[in-house]
Amino acid sequence: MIALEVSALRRSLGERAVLDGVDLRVDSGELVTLVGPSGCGKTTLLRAIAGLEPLDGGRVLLSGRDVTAVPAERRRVGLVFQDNALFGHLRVGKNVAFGLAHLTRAQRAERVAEMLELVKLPHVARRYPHQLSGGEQQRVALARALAPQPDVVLLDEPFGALDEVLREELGWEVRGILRERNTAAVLVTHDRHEAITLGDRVAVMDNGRILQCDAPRVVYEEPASRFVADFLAVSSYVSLGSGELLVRPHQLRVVADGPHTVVRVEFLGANFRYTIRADDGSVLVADLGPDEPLRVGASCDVAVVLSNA
Amino acid sequence: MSGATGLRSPGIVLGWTTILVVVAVFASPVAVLAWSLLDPTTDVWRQLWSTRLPGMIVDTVVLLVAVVVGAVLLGTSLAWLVSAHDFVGRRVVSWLLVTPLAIPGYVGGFVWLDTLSNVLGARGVRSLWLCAVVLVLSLYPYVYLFARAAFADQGAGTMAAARSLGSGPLGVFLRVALPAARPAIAAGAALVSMEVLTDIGTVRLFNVSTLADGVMRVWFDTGNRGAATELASALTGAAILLVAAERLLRRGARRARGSAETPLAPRPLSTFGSVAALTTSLVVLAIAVAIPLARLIDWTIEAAGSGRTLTVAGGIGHHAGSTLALASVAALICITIGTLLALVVTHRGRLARPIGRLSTVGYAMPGPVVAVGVVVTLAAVDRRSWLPNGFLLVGSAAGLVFALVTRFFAVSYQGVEASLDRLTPSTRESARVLGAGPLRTALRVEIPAARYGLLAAAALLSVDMIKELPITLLLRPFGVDTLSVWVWQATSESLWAQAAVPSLVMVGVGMLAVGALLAAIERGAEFVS
Repeated sequence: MIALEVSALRRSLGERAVLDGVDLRVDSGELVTLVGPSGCGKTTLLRAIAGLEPLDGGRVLLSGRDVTAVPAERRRVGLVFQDNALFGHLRVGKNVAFGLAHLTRAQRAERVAEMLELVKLPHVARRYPHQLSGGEQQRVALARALAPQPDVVLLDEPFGALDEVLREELGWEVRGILRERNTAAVLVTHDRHEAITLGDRVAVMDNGRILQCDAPRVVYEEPASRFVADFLAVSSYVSLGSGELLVRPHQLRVVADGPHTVVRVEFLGANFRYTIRADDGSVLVADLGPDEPLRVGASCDVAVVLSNA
Repeated sequence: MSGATGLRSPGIVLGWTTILVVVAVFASPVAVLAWSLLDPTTDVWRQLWSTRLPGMIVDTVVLLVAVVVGAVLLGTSLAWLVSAHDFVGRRVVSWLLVTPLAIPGYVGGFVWLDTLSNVLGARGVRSLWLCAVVLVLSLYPYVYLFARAAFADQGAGTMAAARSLGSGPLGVFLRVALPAARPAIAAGAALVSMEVLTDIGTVRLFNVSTLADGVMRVWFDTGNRGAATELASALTGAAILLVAAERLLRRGARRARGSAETPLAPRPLSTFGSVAALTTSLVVLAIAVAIPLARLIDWTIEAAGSGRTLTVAGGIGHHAGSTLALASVAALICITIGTLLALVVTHRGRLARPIGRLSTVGYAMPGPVVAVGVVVTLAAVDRRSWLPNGFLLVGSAAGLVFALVTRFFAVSYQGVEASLDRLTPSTRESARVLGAGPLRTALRVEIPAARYGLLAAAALLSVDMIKELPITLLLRPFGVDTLSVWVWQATSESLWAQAAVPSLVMVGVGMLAVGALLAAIERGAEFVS
């Protein structure tokens, strides 16, 4: 079932088109990550779906209902901000209950308990937000957004303010929670790694347009454009006469002696990454090297390894 | 076209209407006087120039400079003492140093006038310099509060950097802490100078003829309202110059707050240093608070013993009741309209802010100016007989309340606005997305978030309104006798013991308000923007 559908969304600021005809469909229980360089319009798109951004054209449908003219407070979407935006003067329990004004007291208490259980923070209802850690605050923000049981949850760089370890852990947890509740979600990030690992589908945005929206493996291996290829991972291009072949660093092997030159060597822990200037002037990046590492300035040759075996 | 913008348009119209009505109502008394400044009555001016005006201007300027310099020196050094140094009793002392705010200048004034007249003689004691000292002692807390907040904001990082670059403690203060705190100190100094321009009680005690005093004398002694209006407009000009000077001093220097920074850690003083620091603070407190308080209590007991705790209007209950009724109605209106305007302005964006600020112009104007402006404005309304049953605003309680609100509106408005500014846009949007409309967002999120700002504003409003003199004297209807009016009448006849009774009540209430203010600041209230 389609939980969210936007079509031909347009939004201009002066001459500049911040949203330039955006189409996107998200099914129930599906997590779409929205990734792109800063200023590409991804946050604007999220805010437009939530009803916080006026539009110059297009439609927003939530579970088949046209909400384009419905104000934010009546759209019933969940929204999680990077700065968590918890109400500092209210206890955690009251924060989670904020969107539950339509329920009875008993129902509210039950839902709050259920939500805090869901985000693995069952004992913090009586605390104030500032008494929690950054990761805990973000979980509460998620619980608050999920409490009214919205069909769609929007997450705007929800882990942006957290450190890397916590980020990854919380990312997986959030993905699990959303799937468990069969909630559709759009997650905005500028981190391509996060986009590829967390999303059921990845939407790559640039200049107010969605360039490609596909399963992570498809956008990674069969990018629709050079921009998508370059944005998602380090890319090298090998010319094949008729065209160019995209190769990722793990598909390129380096051997000593040859027509090319090593210009940079980085130690990545598991392997060395070589940046190579080819004899035709192009730049190649390779992760597969000889047992004895090469030095900067060494001459070398490369081979493309396409099978995953 | 999206409906989102279309649906909000009634809100936009309503919002701008609110802003413009509030601004028009509160700015008109000052606008009326500013207009009369542009269109002077030559005869009146010629007479004023040839008689008392030059002396008034000199006295006003000398007193102003003396008090501002004194308050800045005292307030800033005490703030640095308690912010950067640790000594026995530092915490308690740092709170107590705010309490002189509860003692009006004219109360401290008559206590010291009587105490020192035994030493200096009745004539020698009535000098401009003693008047300045008394005003410094009652007004330095404004500078102290601002400077203390500014020092706390700077954090330990910058100070440590200065130390590591070879600055000694004095160098850190002069080269880092003081320049960074300059805008805050300027803001405090501006409040002090406005209080000096508005003062009529203290200067009258010490026979200093300032412009404000001149307005009152011309109004009451000669009954020449035209001349009083001209003098008030001159005072308006002085106030406008001061506001401009403050803007200039604050220009370019924004309040920088390092949120993640470690707060400034006070440096422990040696035993000798501790004793010196504590002694200094206690001497200031003794002169500014303890001795006046002790003498007030003493006089009150004496007055009670001889049954002289009544005025022609009634007992302490009558005066306290009038003060309470007047102050609470005016404060309630200030806070209600101030909150409403701040909420509307925050939602109406960048253009609304400077326009909304126009409503606070009364706070930059001395009390006599606001009073005269209100009389002129209300008289114009009365002449047109818009109100039913021949009701006249001039001389009514409504007129007095309007003048008080015009004068002190800024305290509540700026306090709420500063608190609302700390709420991030995403917090408001979260409330909306969770289904809360503008009303529920205001009631459940915005106003609660500003609650300590509101408490601080209420406390400052109480202190200001209880001790207010010029507006009350010029506009009070028959039968409204406040505590400050009682003090004014008793001191003008040198009846110190009788003046002590209402003074003591005022100081007591003032102390409670200062306590509330400190509690609000401790919880992070922004009291002025």
